[in-house]
Amino acid sequence: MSAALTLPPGVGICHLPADFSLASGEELPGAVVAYELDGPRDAPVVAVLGGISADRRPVSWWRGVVGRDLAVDTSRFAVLSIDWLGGHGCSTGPGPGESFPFVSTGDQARALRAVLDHLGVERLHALIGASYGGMIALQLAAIAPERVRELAVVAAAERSHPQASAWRWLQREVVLLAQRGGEGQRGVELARALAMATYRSPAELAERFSESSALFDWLRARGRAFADQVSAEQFRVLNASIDAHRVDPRAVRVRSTLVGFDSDQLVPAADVERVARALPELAAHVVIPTRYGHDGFLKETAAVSGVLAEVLR
Amino acid sequence: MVRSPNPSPAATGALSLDTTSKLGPDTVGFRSSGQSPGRRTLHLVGPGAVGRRFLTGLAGSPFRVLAVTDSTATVFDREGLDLAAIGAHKVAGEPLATFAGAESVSTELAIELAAADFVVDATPSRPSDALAALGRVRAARRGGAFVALAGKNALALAAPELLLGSNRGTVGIQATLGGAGAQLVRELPELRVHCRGLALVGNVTTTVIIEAIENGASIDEGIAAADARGLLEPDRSLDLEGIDAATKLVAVQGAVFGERWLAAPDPVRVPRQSVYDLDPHEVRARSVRGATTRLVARRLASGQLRVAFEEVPVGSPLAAPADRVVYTYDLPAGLRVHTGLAVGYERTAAALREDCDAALRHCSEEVR
Repeated sequence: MSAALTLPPGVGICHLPADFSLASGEELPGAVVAYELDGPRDAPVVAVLGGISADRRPVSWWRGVVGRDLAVDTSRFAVLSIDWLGGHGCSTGPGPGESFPFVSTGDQARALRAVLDHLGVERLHALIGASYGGMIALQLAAIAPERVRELAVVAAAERSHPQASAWRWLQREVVLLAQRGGEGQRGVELARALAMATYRSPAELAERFSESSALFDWLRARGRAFADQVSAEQFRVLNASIDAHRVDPRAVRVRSTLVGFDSDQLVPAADVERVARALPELAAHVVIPTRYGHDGFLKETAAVSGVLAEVLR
Repeated sequence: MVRSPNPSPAATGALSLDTTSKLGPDTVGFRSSGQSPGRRTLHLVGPGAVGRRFLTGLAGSPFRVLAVTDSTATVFDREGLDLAAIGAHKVAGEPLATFAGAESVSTELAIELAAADFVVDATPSRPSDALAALGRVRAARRGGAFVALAGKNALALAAPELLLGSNRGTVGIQATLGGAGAQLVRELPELRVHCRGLALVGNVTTTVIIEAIENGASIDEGIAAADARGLLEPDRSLDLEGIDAATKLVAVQGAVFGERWLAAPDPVRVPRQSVYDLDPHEVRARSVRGATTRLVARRLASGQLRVAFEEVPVGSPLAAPADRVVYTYDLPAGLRVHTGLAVGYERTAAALREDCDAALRHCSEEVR
């Protein structure tokens, strides 16, 4: 576990405590979490967490939702986000060809809590998580409710749906097979292309692609772009983390808003509803109609912004 | 690891050793042919606090310790030494010169005559010992041994010689740099081409002192806290006067920027600050406004070296907690960060072992 860590300017580093151990019992000695805190110095801190391809800069991956004068307004709030342990950012992760311990969503949540301790943030004004980030937001709210004033979970549930797990298993197997053949990154391209097909709804794909060749070109391009950023080792760490996600929503004693998408195949609206029924302090449960499936959280920026503006009021 | 032919003892000079001596002229020492990945011979120099812990950790390992040397003598047995007995002897405060069968020869000669596959030099860092430390490494290298270093002075004196060229991959510095040495060795080719500057927080003692001050202690109370944790060098001025930090800086800057034909700067002459230059009031004020203070050893882009207490933002990689060291290298792509947790006797001993194990694995892979 020793990927060369090179930090661009402006990245903050939290050295994880020496006794930070993973839920699996394994350790990450000397691990660091990279973060960015974007906004006025003494403003309320809002943590924003995204999917497995997201990083510590939500102004980049959540355009239309996070930024100056947007719903998550970086002129009013200090927006905090982190790079995932084991992921492709500047947090500790696997180097080429290296094995890496299993990292659970609970581990990511504790890493975020370590960053809050490091920054002296006693309580987040709000914790907003989407997709993988939503899983981790649920975990942090469950283990440390006193650190979160308000929770918003977008396109995430208390566990992975079996169908989503099946697709992810296939993706992992593709990457493993490719790695054994010395073509790990080609495996990542294909796995991501498969994932993209599951992120969108059948209706949207049908509407958008009248020719298969255009669809395949799109899948190929998305796969390549992802494989340029994420290594095979990093992909497997986060992919496995999603599948193993488990949290008891009854332990989430924080005022909570849940957002689901009607055409989401990965996190079906019914799963979000199940979580909503179990949360002890549900403030709102919103189902947004969309043709974009799971990617609705990235595409339906107006609707998502409307919900988050209420959370942050 | 390619072993060079070992000189016979007769070739080492006019020695008049007793022929019954285990280290005598008829003793060439066991030398692995390099063809078998089986047990490898090891010579420990410096059975002090770190060295004894290193020996304890060898139980069940592929290493056979055939020699142990302290400042007074060497104990040698081609079949392997009774490490428990040696450890007990040293813990009792006794020099090896009073251990049965010990030979009072110079350390360099002992290294050459023992001719072990691995030489582990666990002697503490002392500026006055720098040339002798380098001599020990050179003696080991003449015999083709892999060397694992704990002390910093040999590296500070001759980093390019020890880490580059024909010696590349044969000197382990994981313990020397607090657990960040192996990464430096691995990335050295890249750093030598691209690095423009470096900064390190390499002295945990001062971090402990600063953290104590931030929590309301005086400088002397901070020193006592570091002492209680066993962090101070035997010569505490090395920590308190910034000499330890300067030595690490000279060592690393030599590795990254140095050349064999250039004399290394004297660490003692690097502009340094003492812990007594700290202003506790200022340290606490920084802490209140969300920053911290660290003793930062820097090589600036101009080539200038300095060791000074700096205000460090809390998100900086240099804001290392008091259980680790951090080395940062300024590259065009950003700041490369190496972190080391080999602080204290146990972890330093473990870092020496890491170097030996890595070298052994490398040998086994080459044979295959």
